[in-house]
Amino acid sequence: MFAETVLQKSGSPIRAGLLLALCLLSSAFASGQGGGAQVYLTVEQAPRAVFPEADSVERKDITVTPAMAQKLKQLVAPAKPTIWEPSYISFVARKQQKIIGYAVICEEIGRHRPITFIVAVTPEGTVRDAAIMAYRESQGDEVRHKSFLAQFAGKALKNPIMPHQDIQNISGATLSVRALARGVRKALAVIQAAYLQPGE
Amino acid sequence: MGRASFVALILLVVPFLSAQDVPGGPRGNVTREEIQQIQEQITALQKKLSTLMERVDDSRPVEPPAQTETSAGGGPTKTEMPSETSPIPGRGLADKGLYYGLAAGPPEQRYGRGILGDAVKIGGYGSFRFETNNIDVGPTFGDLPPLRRGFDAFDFRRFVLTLDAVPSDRLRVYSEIEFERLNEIEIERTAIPEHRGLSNRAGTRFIQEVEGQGGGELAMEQAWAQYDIAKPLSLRMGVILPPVGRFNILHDDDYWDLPRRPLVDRGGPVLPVKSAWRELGAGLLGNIPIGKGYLDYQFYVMGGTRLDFTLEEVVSLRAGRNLLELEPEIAFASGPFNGTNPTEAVSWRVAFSPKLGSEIALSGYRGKYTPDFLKVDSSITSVAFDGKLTWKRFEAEGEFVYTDFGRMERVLQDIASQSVNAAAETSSRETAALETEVEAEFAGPFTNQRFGYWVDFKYRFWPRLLNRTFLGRDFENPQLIPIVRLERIWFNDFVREFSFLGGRITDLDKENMEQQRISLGLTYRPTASVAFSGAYERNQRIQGSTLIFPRVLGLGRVPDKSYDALVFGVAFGF
Repeated sequence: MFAETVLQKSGSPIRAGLLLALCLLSSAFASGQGGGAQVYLTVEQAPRAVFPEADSVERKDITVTPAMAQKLKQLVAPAKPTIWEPSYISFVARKQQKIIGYAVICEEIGRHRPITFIVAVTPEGTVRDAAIMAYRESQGDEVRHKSFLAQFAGKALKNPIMPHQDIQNISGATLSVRALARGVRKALAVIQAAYLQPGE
Repeated sequence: MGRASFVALILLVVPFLSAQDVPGGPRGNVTREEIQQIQEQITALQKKLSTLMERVDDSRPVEPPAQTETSAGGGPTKTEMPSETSPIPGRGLADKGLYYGLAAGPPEQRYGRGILGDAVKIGGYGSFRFETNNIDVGPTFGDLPPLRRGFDAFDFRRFVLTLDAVPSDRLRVYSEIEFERLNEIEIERTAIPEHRGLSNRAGTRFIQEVEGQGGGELAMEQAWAQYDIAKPLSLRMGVILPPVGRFNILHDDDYWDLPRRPLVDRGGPVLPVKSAWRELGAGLLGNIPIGKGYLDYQFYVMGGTRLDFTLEEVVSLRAGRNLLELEPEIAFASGPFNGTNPTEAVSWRVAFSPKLGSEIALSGYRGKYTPDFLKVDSSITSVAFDGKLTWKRFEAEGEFVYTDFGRMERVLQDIASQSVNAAAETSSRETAALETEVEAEFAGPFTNQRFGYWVDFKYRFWPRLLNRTFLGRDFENPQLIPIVRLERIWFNDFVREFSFLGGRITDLDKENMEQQRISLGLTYRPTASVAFSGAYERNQRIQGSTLIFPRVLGLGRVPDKSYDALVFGVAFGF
C-alpha cells in the first residue's frame, strides 16, 4: 500500500501522516473540485441532468389537495414516505414537441436530515433516471453514486422498490437507502396521479 | 405617490367602475347587506386559510397558482422557473436559500429531532439483552455463594446519545455520548472538623464518596468537527474512531444482527482497545467514484493508545483482620484527551466498493504505546482486512485483524525496574487488626501478538403470510434474518502471571491461547433501525488454560473448556 510505503520511507508516523496529507490535498486541489460537498444539482440543473436530450422542459408545480394526498398514500403503499408537501415541482420534458418523460423533485429524511432528489419517469410510468440534488447527512452519501441510483431505472409502482428486496443496500447508509427507495416510490406516485392517470 | 401606487389605485378602482358601467349585469345592484355578507365570508375564509397554513408549517406561505409554461420547440434546451422566490418542497417562499434550513416532513414524522431549527439533530442508538449460559459454577466454600460470572440476567449494554450539528454547509459537528451499563453515579466530597466523636482527636476529616452500580461507564465516544474542503476531501478533527477493520467504524448497535459484539473487536479484543475504540486526532477522509464503484479513504494522525493504569481499591471486612488492598491495574487504553498525549500514532483505511453492497478494505494503525514513566519505547502495529459481499439476499461480511505489541518483554522488564516491587503486604505483627496489600495487576491483556477473524453469513427474507400478523402489520419493509457467525482469536505469549521484586522479574508465566465461537441467530427487523434478535453461542477453548472471553477466574475454579449461551436482545436507533 502507498501508505505503508510512505511509512517505511519516512520512518516517523507523524512525518508519514503529514506527507500523505500533503499528497491528498495536492491531488484534491489539482482536480479543481472545490466548493460545496453537499449540493450537487440546483433546481435549474436537475431536469437537464435527467433529460439531457430534451429540447424543452416545462415546469409545472403540482398543488397537493387532500384528495391527491390520499391517492398518493394508496399508490405508494406499502411504503410509507412522508406525504406532507403542499406542492411538488415537476417538469415535462419534450423532444421535437413529443413528451419524452416527466420529472419531480422530492425529499425524504435519511437518518436525521432530508435528502433532495429528482426522479425522471417515462410516459409509461417507469423510472428513467434519478439524481441527488442535495445530501446533508454525516454519513451515507454513497447513495449519490450512479451505481446506486442506476438500480431504480425501469422500476414501476408494481415493483417493491425496497431495500434487500429489489434495491441493494449499502453498509453504513441503510437509512439513506431506505429514504431514496421510499422517495422514488413517492415520485412515481406523484407522476401517476398528476400526469398519467389524473382523473382516477 | 409613486408610479406603483398609482397603478395599484387604478387597478382597484377600474373594476368598480366597470361593474357599474354594465347595467343589468350579475352584480348590477349591490346592496350594503350583500357587501357585508361577502366581507364576512372573506373574513371566515381567511381564518380557515390561516388555520390550514399553520397546520402545514408556520413558515410556509401559500403556494401561488404556479403553472408556468415555456417551450422552445426545436430550439436549445430551456428551463424557466416562475421566479426566484418559487417554493421548493419543504422550504416555502420565505427561504430564499435553496438548501438552507429545509426540513422534509412535519416534526412528528422526522427521524431524529431538530433543535435550534434543523441545524442540530439529536438521535441515538442502544441495546439491551438477556443472557443465560452454562458457564461452570465453581465449588462452594461454606455458606459463600458459588463463584460464577454468567447469570440468567438482563444486561443494559449501552445507550448512546448522538448530536449532529451543521453550523453551515460544508461544516459539521458530530458527537456520541455513551452510557454503558450505567445506572447512576453520585459523587460527594466534604471536609469537616474533627475534634469529637469516638476518636476524640482534633483535626479535619476529608470524606469522598462515590456511589453507583458496578460496571457502569460514561464516555465520550465520538466528538469531531468536519470541514468539507472539496468533494473528495474532508478534514475531520476531534475524538475520532481509528478505522481499523469495519466493526469499530460501524459500531452502532442497530446495524448488527447478533446481540453480542465479535471477540476480535470486543471480547478479546484483538484491537489494541476494545470497540468503540476512540482517540484524539485529526485527519482526512473522502469518497471518490471510480467506474461503477467508489474508493473510500480515511487517514488520521492521533495521540494513540497508551499503557495506562487505574487504581483499584479493595476493602474486605472480615473476621480477625480487615483487609485494605490497592492494585495499580495496568492496561491498554485510549490516550488521555487532556493535551498530555504526544501525537505518535497514525491510522488509515482504504476501501474499494466494486459494486453495490460489496466492499473490500485494508486498514492499519501504528503508534507508540509506552508511557513516559518507562524508559523503553515500543509500538503497536495493527493491520486489518475486511469486506462485505452481497449476492441477491445473501450477505457475507467479515474482518481479520492482526496486532503486534512490539517488545512486550522489554516493556514488562522496564515496568519491573521502574516500579521496583510488584506486591507488598503487612504482617500480623505490624497491624493486628488491618492487613494492607499493594499488588500490581496487568489487565492488558499482555501478549506479543493477537489476531483473529469473524465472518457473518446472513439471508434476508420476509414471508408474505406474516404481513397480516402482528409481526408484519403496519410495517413498511419487515425482515427476518437467519445469521451464522464464525469467529476465532489467537493470543501469542499471553502473560498469565507476572511478578517482580527489587526491580527484577521473578515470575513470568506465558502461554498461547485460542478460542472459537460459533453463533446461530435469527433477527426480526420490523424496520431498518430496530432489531429483535436471539442467538445460540457455542464457545470453545482450543489452546490455553482458560477461555479468553469471558475470563472467569476464581478460587478453586475448574476453567471452562467450553460453554453455551442463549442471548436475546433488542437494538435500536432513532
